[in-house]
Amino acid sequence: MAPHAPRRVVITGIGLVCALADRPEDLWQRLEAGRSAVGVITRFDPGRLGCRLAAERSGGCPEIDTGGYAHEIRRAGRFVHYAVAAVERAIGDGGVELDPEDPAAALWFGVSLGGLDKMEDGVIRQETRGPRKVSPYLIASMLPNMAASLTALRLGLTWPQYTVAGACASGVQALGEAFRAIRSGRLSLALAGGCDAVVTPIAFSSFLAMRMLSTACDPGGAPRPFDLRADGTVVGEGAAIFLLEEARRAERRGARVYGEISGYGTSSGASSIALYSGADCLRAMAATLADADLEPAAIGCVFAQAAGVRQGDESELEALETLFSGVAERPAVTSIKGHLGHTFAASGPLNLAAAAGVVNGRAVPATRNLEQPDPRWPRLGRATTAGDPPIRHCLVNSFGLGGVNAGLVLSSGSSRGGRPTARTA
Amino acid sequence: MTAAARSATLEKTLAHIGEYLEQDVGHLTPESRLDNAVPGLDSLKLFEMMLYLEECFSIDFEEGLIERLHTIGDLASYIEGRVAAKEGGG
Repeated sequence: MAPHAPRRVVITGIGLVCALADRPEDLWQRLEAGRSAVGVITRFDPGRLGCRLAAERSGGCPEIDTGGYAHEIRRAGRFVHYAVAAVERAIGDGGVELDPEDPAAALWFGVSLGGLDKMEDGVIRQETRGPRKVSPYLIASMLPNMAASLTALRLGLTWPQYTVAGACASGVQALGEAFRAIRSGRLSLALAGGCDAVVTPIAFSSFLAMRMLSTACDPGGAPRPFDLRADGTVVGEGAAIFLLEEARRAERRGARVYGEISGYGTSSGASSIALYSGADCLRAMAATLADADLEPAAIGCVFAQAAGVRQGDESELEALETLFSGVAERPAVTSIKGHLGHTFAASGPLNLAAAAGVVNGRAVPATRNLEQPDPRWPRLGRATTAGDPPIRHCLVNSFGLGGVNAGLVLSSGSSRGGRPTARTA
Repeated sequence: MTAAARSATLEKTLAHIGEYLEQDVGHLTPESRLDNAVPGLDSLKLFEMMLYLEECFSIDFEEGLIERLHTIGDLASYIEGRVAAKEGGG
């Protein structure tokens, strides 16, 4: 049997639950406007901690209060609430009628810290009230697969479900594997993305012990991706789920196309379990571009991992310098963690959501709080303007603790057939 | 235990079950079976409901109780006994 020719994979729906916006258009507008979701922690008293800031999402998720399994979802970690709501928003945004038994569809979710909030509550309950008083829902509430599992149960899906645990790269890996499955012809539709929600004391004390969190007191001044004075990141939370479809399937039903995922790369490697390395970041970026069959010159924008943790930001910048060293006109490079904080498994997918705005003509948002940029990269973190050429291809970087490195290329819908390739550039 | 007290405990038990399930449980009677009278009351919900009832009545249930209780009436009677024992210092 002849192998399938590679299929094209497009984004036809975006579902967001994050601290800054619940709709793609609002996210794009607020990123451009430089709005920040960072504030003083309200969900618990940070008095014992060495940091005060988080990017918390206010309000609940109305989608989870009704419909199947609402009882279980309410008891699950907040990451599940966000994922379930984001899925329903992606489906609505995509205007698609799902077949619960579609043999060519699957769920691919990236989750890194999962139900850490519920685990913390459970341990406290055990230690204060005794083991007998532990909730029978505790295990189910914190399992990383529960974002995908409760989605499938709630929607009555018999599709395969996969949950990827790759630290901060989880979401991009999930999207990438879904992309590969559709490109190969094995699937024609996927709901894929990432979610995390760990605004809970143990997450903060743990990250503080690693010296990863900013101890700034001013919500307007942290985090500072790529800034020479960056002192750490800020914990955020959220979910971004995408409806991915094989392009012809999307075309047949007249779906709106946000863009095309044209490449995915992933590799392992780091200086240590908690430190990135420029060479390993570069390997993943190069693999991503190679998979997209694009030369570096074709990339107009990079949505960086950069979280305001100096070592990581420097490693990523070193890799970018090497990757684009032969390019006369370097791409715009930005990070949205200054707006949203670090959302861990959702960070790559939220970058992808932001990139969807750029490939549809929005400006690249400036990096917030970048006052002393690393001088190695001209125009680092600066917004694009109306006079800049349209951007057809965005690179989304995602690097996770333990040396999990991944990337995606998002291309504009009009880039088909005309993009520079490794053979023609 | 008087019939009036028994009835009061039964009513309180039903009210708390309704609170926990966030459903109208007016259809439940003392003869209603725990394993099939309440739609959607699966094992995890039942276990959690028992924890909730412990909180409501400020008592602790014995281990293995669920295997011995079959009806709402059984549950209410058991709760009556535990409350009485607690109030009697036993």
